Amino acid sequence: MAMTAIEDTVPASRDLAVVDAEVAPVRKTGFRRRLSRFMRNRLAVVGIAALTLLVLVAVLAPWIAPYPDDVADALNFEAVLSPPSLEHPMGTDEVGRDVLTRVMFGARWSLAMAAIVLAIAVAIGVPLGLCAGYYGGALEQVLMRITDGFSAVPALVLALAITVLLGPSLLNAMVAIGLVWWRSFARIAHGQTLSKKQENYVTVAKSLGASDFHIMFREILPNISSPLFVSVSLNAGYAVLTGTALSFLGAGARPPTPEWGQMVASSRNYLPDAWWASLFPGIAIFITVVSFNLIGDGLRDYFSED
Amino acid sequence: MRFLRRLLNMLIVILFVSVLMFVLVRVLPGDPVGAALGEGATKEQVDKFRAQMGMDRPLQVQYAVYLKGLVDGHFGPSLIESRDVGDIVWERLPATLELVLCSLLLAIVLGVPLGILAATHRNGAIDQISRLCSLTGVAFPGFWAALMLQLLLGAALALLPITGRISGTPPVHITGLFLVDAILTGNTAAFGDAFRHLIAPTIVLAVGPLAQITSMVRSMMLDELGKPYVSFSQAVGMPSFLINYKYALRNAFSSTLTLIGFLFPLMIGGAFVVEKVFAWPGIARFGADSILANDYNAIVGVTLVVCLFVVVVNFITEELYVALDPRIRLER
Amino acid sequence: MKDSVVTALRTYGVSIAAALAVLLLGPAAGWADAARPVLRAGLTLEVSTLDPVRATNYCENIIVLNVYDMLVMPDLEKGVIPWIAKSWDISDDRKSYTFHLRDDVLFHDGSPLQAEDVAFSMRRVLTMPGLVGGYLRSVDRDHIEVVDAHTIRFNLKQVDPTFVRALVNLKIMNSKLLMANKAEGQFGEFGDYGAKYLQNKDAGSGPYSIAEFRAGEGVTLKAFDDYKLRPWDATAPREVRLRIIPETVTMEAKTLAGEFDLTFVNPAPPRVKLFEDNPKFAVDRWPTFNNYYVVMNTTKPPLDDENVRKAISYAYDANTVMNRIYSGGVRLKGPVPAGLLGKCEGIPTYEFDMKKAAEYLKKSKYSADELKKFKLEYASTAGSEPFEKTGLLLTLNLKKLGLNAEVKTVRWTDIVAAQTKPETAYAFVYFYDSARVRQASTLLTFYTKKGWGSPYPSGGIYWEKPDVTAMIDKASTLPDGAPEQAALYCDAVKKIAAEAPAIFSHNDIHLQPRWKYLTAWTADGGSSQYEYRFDRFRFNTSDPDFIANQAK
Repeated sequence: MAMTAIEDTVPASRDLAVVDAEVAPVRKTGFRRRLSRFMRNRLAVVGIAALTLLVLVAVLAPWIAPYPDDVADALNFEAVLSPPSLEHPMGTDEVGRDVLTRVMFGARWSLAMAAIVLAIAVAIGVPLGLCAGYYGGALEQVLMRITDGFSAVPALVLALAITVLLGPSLLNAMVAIGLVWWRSFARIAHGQTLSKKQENYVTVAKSLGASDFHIMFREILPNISSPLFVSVSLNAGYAVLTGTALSFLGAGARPPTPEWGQMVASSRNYLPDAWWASLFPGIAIFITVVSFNLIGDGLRDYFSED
Repeated sequence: MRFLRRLLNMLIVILFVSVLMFVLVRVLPGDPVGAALGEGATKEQVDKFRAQMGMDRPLQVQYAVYLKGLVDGHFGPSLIESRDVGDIVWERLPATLELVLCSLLLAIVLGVPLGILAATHRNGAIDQISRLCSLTGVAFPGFWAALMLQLLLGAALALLPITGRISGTPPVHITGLFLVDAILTGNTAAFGDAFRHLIAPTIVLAVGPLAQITSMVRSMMLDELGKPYVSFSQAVGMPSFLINYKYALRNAFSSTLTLIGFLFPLMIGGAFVVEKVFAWPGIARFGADSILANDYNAIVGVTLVVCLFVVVVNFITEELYVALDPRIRLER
Repeated sequence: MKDSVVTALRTYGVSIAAALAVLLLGPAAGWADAARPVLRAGLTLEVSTLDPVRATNYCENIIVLNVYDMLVMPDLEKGVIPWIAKSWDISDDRKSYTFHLRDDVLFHDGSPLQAEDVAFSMRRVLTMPGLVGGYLRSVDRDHIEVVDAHTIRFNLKQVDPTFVRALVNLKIMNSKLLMANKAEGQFGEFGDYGAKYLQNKDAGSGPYSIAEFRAGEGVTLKAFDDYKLRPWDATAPREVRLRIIPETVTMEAKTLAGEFDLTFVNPAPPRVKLFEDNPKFAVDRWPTFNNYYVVMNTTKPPLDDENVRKAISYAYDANTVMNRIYSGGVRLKGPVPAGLLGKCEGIPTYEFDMKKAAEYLKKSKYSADELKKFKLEYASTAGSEPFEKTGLLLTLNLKKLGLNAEVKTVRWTDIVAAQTKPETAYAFVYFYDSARVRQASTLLTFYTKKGWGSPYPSGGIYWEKPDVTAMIDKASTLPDGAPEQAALYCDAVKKIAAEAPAIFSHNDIHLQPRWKYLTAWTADGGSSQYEYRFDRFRFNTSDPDFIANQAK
């Protein structure tokens, strides 16, 4: 779904056509040029800023969280379900734990979820798609049929089935989602390989006697990396959504793990009075997914301008 | 010929998923039988139960039995309800279908006009708002949106019902879709009742797809409007109304069709959390309930049925797409 | 260009809005008739079957005990009182029980209930897999004698003191109706024993019949006007509408709004005041026979050392559990609650005392370093918050003592499966036993070899002492309720408590929030959920809240 914008490329004033010879414009080269081009997309910048903040929070959580003990087993009857206050900016949950701390630590789990899921998905899907596209023929048919098979079931449903069978745990959920997510990467890799297969550099490499492996991974792969990057960042958000949904349904993280979906689930019995325990983890999920999407959109716009 | 080949593909995919499910279930550890019987169950009872479920025969025999059962519509006994999963799924399927179809309808009915408006009023207020909504709409965790909406409506309970499909007596069962059955039997009370119950879950389920349809229609329209034939038609004096609807929209339509094929499985996935929160008696909730109960047959049965539906819907949308877009037809 | 598009869309939008308005403000469903009061309540668990043999969760049980009747009715004081059986004789060897039935009991389809139906029901329960068959397993299925139309004799394979009390679970079914509606099945001439028919229909003789059952949504019961065993009062519910609302908070909200008349489950402690502070509500309280335990796997070191177990028992803060996690409780002394045990003095108990806990830990054969090495997992049933909180409380205290304990949330099915083998049984499992057969031996059997490995948490204790087993065996040969039997049980309990194979926590207090116009049962019904026999409920039909709520 390329969002091609009809760009207004006409300069504001025709007078700029005359270049002042004395003040030659500085031309940014290479990385800095690409970076400034990317930065023109305001929303993408917001996305990167938000994600950076999240990563910082996740990494520094043990040091900056106000009540780091509340992440593991903790029980505090006095503070059960207290509303947001100075001591507990996001309130406490039904066991008396500080919600802000748990939301901060939850960032670790969600970012880890995105990373692991995508790592598994890319590791399975990209080579599969590359091989299917490169070798063609019967192998391509078989591999693509398998991909179709996995695509026939919605991601959440298949991941749910696998997690039920493996037994609910956060790790199983991550593996299950990864095992389900590879299909879109396989498709992209396959499609891109098909179109790049005919390029000159491939023919040259073949005539020079390069191995298939070399051609696929050293020649073709770098040239199809742009759409893959876009896909990775766009999918990161959905991976987080699916993971938190699995935990909400009880098939993922188990208490006392401070995973956002799990936190919403265990606190929802106290709605509507104790709204804070379910609201803040949900907002955290929302912000994470929005920032991934913004970055993904930005990357897509950036690459499509080429 | 191509049609037959596609049909065959469809069947292969379904078979593949069934093998996958069977292998996963039988190979993985865990024994949920004892718990299903409850406190005081003795070892003899557990063994008797397992024998009744056929869990003590060799793997190939079990698969053959399983496959035959699938063809008959039997997915194996459910541990939660002690009757065949096939019967349970058949009973509950209309509820999920009704929900998903209504959400899809809502998303299309709202999304297409919004997308058109956004494209024709590019960079205007509507465009900015719809782009913002598109961005945020897909980022909402479904379960959270469901809970928040339930909170909002539940705070003033008299506003809308927040659980279940209907409060009074359902209409006579013809299709199982309450709205359709109510219309067919002229039952206005049931129609209103079922409609009121549908509102909240439909809204939650439709948010994501609405965002995606709006943005897709918008970009497709923009693409089309930027094409030479549009400016040519405008120059020639063709009314804009005609340009927008007769040409630009129709070209965007086939892509919308593909999008629907893509959205349908997503919405079924979304239905799992929506049904759980709104206590909607559909197959998605049944599947979600099987998690805690470790009911293998249930989750596998639900997965297979969902897979079947997705494959069928994809098949239909692909056929429609080809039928509607002459360029593809001619290419083949 | 803009105008035409906008106009078109505006018309479109208006018509949709109009349609919506019509639908939203449409007529509400339901009407009320004060002559036939309707009881409405919410169920928080799925009702998956209406078959008494298969019903396991509390919601299914509530329905089943209203739709079916039994030979005997539970009673809090006497244990059981005659019901369909007006009297019974016990042979001298206590292996033969002859029941004399009333001759005026009718099934819902009008046919009379006879001994043949009782025999059929017993055979069915013993043949089909299910819980009730376990309670009645001492009955010799091949020697059930139908003496005449209203007399039936059961012969037991061995002496069983729990038999008469266990009969509370035998629901009498309409044999002719079931056999007329049997489907293909694996029970030979009996087909499927009517299992398919009973998925959503009833074959009972109880005060209510099933008017409607919609899986996943709810059940409607209608009063059986020809019910002879208790006359109908004008203000008793003539219709009962039970709706499945899995979210407790939604169910409570609907109750507060008047869509339901009472709740069946305790509100969580922070939410109790919602009902207590509400002038239109009354909250009944009574102690239950739900026995809460933390069972320990005595084969797993360091739990094989009695001193360690005692230390752990001293580290368990029962008061906090009863009053902060649950809404009140009665402390348990040993595995059997006082109500079933009768007068029994001198049972060793372990009140919360961290100093004593530390002392006993020192007395154990393990050094402090050795103790730290053992990983003790406390299995808490997934989906239950009080279980998790109790676990946190205990494991945090154990950590203070230097024990490496932690809470693990596990699905119930996995817990039960794990307990069947000593290698896989968890160190600690927290659960409650609702004692559906109210007799001490059903709880004590888990402390003998017979109860080892049973698919239930107590099956994972793996503790036994020959003299205790001997006492329990001797007690079962004595007449049920005899003082010698009570004395033996008392001694057995004392010896068990002395070695602390489990933490005997408490019996919980049942809280029943209800609208004031409803008079429900306010004490334990003699057996699980028997306080929910709806024909004993009464409405104040002139109360304005009642009239208003009936229309909702």
